[in-house]
Amino acid sequence: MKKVISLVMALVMMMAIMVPAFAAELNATTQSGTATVQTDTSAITGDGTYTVTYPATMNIVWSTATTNFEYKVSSNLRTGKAIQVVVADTGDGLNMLNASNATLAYTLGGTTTGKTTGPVVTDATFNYSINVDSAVWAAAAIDTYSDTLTFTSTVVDA
Amino acid sequence: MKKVISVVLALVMMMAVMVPAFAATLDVNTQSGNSTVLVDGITDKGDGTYSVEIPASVDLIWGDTTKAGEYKITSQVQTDKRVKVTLAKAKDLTNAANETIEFAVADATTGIANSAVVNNEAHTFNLTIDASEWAAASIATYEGTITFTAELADA
Repeated sequence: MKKVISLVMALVMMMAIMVPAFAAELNATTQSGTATVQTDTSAITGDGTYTVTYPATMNIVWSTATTNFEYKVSSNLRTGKAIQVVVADTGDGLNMLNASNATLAYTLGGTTTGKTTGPVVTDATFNYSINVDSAVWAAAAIDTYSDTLTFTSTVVDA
Repeated sequence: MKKVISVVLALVMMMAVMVPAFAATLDVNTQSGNSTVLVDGITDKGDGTYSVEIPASVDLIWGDTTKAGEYKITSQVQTDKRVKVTLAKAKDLTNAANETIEFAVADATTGIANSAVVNNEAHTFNLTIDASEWAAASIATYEGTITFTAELADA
């Protein structure tokens, strides 16, 4: 008897967790019907995925007034979203320093805040530049100078 | 077969010495990253450049016991370097008859630029002739020579 009860219980539990089929039915009087095809985004966490590719090092040749660089965005986001990338100095301003802390000032030009045009883009390219005035070059001792720029990406409303 | 192997090896060697692109990436998990702005002036410019403007002639008036002169340094060199100029007498004042008036380069026979980057920085020097030299010399035109030597020195 116990075996019968446990078998019945097992069958009840199996039926309880079964996903109902929600089948539609056509027959002699209902000869056509529609079925909804839909995507399930429950497996997607957050707003989707994206990649921003930017130069790890931006080499400037001595005496060059303007050096152009680019960063690229590829994204697959939820509808209504876009990627925004900000290029900025988070330290002591736009100054390259040498080992003696002598400065070589520069400015940023071009698209230092870039925003994609939609949720899905492939290698969307944004151009920016590093500019060093000729007077700055002329006043600088020959040396190696460097600074750090920070690239920050966020998902924003399109 | 050997040729194929040698070509493959050559390609492998070429790829081994290729400079990688060094691209960095951001994504959902890494939303912020740094990039280095770099100027390697030593590779680009080496020691740098300099020029020293020296007088083509220093004119003395008969009887002068001191005569000041000047030279100018313009430089853009490495941070820890300076342009150094050394003056030395190469030849005493000598006339056509090979008679001489002795003179000396006094004080400041060595001038060093104040920094790596200077623009027409003036340095002075003095020539001295003892009064007894003038008194003993026959009146004539005399010419001597000073040599200026420029070099890079440690700061």
